[in-house]
Amino acid sequence: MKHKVLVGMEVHLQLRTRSKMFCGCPVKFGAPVNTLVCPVCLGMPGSLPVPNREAITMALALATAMGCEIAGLTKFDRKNYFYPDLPKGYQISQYDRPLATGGGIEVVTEAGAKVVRLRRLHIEEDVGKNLHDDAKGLSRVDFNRAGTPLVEIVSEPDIASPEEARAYLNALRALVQYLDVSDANMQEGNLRCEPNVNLHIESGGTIVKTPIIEVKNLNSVRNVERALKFEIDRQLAEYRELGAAVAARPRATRGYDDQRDQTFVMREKEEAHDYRYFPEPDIPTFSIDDQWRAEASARVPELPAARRGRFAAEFGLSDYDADALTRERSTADYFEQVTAAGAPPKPAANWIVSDLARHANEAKKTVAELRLPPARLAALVRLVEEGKVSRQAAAKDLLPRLLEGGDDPAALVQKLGLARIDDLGQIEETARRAIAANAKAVADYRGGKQAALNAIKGFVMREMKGKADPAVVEATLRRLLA
Amino acid sequence: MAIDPAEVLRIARLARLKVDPDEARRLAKDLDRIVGHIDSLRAVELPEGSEALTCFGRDVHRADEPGTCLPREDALRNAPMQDGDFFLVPKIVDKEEA
Ligand SMILES: [Zn+2]
Repeated sequence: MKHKVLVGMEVHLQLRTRSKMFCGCPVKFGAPVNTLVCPVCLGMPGSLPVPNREAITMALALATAMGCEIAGLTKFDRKNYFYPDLPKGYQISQYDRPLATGGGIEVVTEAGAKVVRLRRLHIEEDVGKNLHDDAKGLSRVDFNRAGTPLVEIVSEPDIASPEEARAYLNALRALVQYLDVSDANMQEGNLRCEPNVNLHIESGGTIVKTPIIEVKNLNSVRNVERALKFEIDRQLAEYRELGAAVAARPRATRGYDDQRDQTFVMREKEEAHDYRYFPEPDIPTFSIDDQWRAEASARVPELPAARRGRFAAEFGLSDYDADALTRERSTADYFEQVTAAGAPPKPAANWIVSDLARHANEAKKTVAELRLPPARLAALVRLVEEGKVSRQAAAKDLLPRLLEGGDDPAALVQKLGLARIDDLGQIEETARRAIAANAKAVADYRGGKQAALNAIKGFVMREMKGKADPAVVEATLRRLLA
Repeated sequence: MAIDPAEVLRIARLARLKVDPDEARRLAKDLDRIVGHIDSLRAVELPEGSEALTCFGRDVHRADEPGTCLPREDALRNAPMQDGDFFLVPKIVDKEEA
């Protein structure tokens, strides 16, 4: 049974403005409840929403970066629904005149690169937060978030697998971070996504289309991937059970339960979808003129894909290193600062991608947030390249000191006694002791097991506190064991 | 479009408003006439190429500058139910948290 997976993605992105979309209330995370509110975002009678120009410019920059077609004339509309996360009884959104249409996002998976086409991009306001756990049969409402600017990005159903969905979200997140328009953090809810998925199943020369299912409650890229995997299997099972009749089942919204790793039907009243859109009479139509477009374009920096290509070409980096360096804009900037400070690019990339990235991961920070001055890392890389300290000792003893604030790598090498041991006599003497102490490994090696040499080499490196050049140690051992 | 009492009751239910059948009949008549007036606007022919999206003004924006907010007690003052921190509403179960 052959089938094709069709996933479309709807992403809501909170823009990082200082104030809300239609009023001056600050946009902040974690303020005391209901303190970032005013008559406009509470929907009080007589208040007047006025669009935040900066939010529109940010959305335009994003649209430009994704190659969307920007509308000349656009407007806001009211999306009416009754739910207590909306104080007004409607959300200000955009309906038939979105800010931008078309465009695409390039995604890279093991299967290669492809472009996921976009349908539209529009601006709307975020809603408040409801807390449903009240014992008295009440829900509590906090309107601090209500009115925060959001961009909604809707893709065509071009995503063909859960892996591509992950790549799509990662690519979008990188783009947004490069543009500096949003924190785009799913855990904190400033990037929210609702994938829709269905299958086209080939059966006896005809195509059976399973109903489109929208999945909600996804708070991480990993959960998006898992939920889609589950949903694809579920739809296949449904097809096996119902055959072609599956096509007549209704479209539905399902939630994702990450504890059970499965999706479940969400009760939703049909009438909730009758939004009765109409033009927002309180906000005049606005035009995006050439000057505004130019202002937005000027904010589009070199984007991740372009930078990845340039790093590979200009510095001779591997695709892997170039990709790892450019996923975060700040990391790519840091790498360029380190090379500008005199570090040879290839080893510098290696230090950042392996050693610094590991420290950053442990500290739950980005590489740049480790705040190791670029000149200091450059000095360390040079010391290693010039053979003044071994790569291993530099990684194990020198780098942690520098991360703790140590300021002169060369002086630290002296102070900590890390200078590389180039005394061949001392290396040979230690190698002989290692051979004597590792009879089993020696026998294995002589019996043809190349890997056994690593144990003996490890012994030497430990004895010499990592200060010898591993290549010299290995050559010495091979000579003595030959 | 015609508005009948059933439509009035449906919208009332969405808006959590209590409307009895007599009122619904009366409201349906009034609303039908109001919507009828709006429908007559559709008959107006617009000049070729005109963009009548909204009826007044153009290009009103504000700079991204934070202003002042309401003190919480003022924000909560008109709420039918509140606990000093939150607005309180009857428990919602038909839709998950957005
Ligand atoms: Zn406000």
